Amino acid sequence: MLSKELTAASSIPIILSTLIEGESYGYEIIKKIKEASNGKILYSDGTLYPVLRKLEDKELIQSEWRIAENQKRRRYYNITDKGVTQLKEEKLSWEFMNGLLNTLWAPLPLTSV
Amino acid sequence: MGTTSAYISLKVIEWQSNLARTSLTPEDREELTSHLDDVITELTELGLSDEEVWAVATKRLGAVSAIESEFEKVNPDIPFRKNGLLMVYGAVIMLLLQSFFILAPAFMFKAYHHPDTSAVPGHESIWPIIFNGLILILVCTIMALIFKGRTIAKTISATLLRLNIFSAFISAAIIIVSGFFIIQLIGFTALDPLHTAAPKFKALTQIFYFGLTGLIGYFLLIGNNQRIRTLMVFNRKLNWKPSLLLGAVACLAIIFSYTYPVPYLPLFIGCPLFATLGWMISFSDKKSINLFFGQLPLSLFCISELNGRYASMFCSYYLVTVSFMLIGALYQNGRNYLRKLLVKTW
Repeated sequence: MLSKELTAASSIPIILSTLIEGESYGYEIIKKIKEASNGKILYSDGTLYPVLRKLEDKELIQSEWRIAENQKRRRYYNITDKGVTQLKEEKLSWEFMNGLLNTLWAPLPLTSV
Repeated sequence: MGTTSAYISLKVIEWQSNLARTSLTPEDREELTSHLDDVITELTELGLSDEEVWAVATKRLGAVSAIESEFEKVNPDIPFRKNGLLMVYGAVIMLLLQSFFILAPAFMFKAYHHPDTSAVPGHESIWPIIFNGLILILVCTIMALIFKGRTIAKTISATLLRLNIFSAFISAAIIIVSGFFIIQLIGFTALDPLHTAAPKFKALTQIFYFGLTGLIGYFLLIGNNQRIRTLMVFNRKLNWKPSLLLGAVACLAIIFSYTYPVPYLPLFIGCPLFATLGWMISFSDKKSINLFFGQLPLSLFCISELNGRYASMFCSYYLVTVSFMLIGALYQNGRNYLRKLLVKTW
């Protein structure tokens, strides 16, 4: 299981990545993340929504209320152009961090850590 | 949740009532409830018992207090806004009652003593009917509040929250109209024979009413609606309806300013208001349509004054709005262009 801090720090690129495939809603976003991480990232479902608000305030995503197939109102989220640009930047940052850690860990016998 | 049992339905109602006590907006609550519905449907399909479904679903969503504290991290001033909203509603209801039962009769009394005031019909026989009618309404209101006070409060609150922008307009209109009555009464010589208190009271009243109108604008348009938490988000989401209502409120404020014998006061009040409106509209998607509707009340007012001495003043409001919209649009385009250029260079 990942630490809370790491989960929180990676929440923005993870949510943006789920929306890059197309529009989605809160429940589906959580489901996609759980499936992609094999259940290793476990958000408390209710805490996803404040992050979505934050992303919407930053204009990285936009939302729209529509009637879903179950005939109930549902809020759908879409990534914006600004969000795509942000995701590209995040990708570069995370790739850099990944590379940096691999470089630092290369000489270590990690199995003994 | 068509197939959920009575047990789960009851638990959901209980959970919703707990959620309603938090500082979350109606939209947030609706979205969370919809999420809970989806989780319950998924778990029910797995064949779990009702108790298990409920236990797992609530665990997955997290405790209500935890959800609220996460929302407060994004918007630390949510509870403040909610309390502010309640205060504003209280003030508006008080002003409405004051206008109906104190100011309107007093205004009529004043008009009765000054037949030259043309705003009120001069037939003497109409007063007993109006006063009796008002007393009857007052008695009915008191009776309704005594017997059905809680239901009335809940219904009004729910309606106002649903008609967010419209309720803001109504509230602002109530304040402006009751302010108009107050100003008329302050000028009533029978209350102030030496005419010394009136100017001071007028200035204080002006500060009070305009302050209150500003508060209403903030709490109802920004504070209450999750989608329009910041002014910029509100500007971007402007459509013809709020533009029309904002234009009408600005127009009412100009009419209100005519009650002061200060030269060019409507111009000093109208220009900043319409300049702000133009600036806000410049950030919206359909600028031309919003501009048209924002200026519609003013245009109607303008038509009635076409040959009057204020015609040039209305023309200047129009120019102010258009020029600020253009400046806003240019600023926004320039900002977007610079941002793209920076991203490319970087």
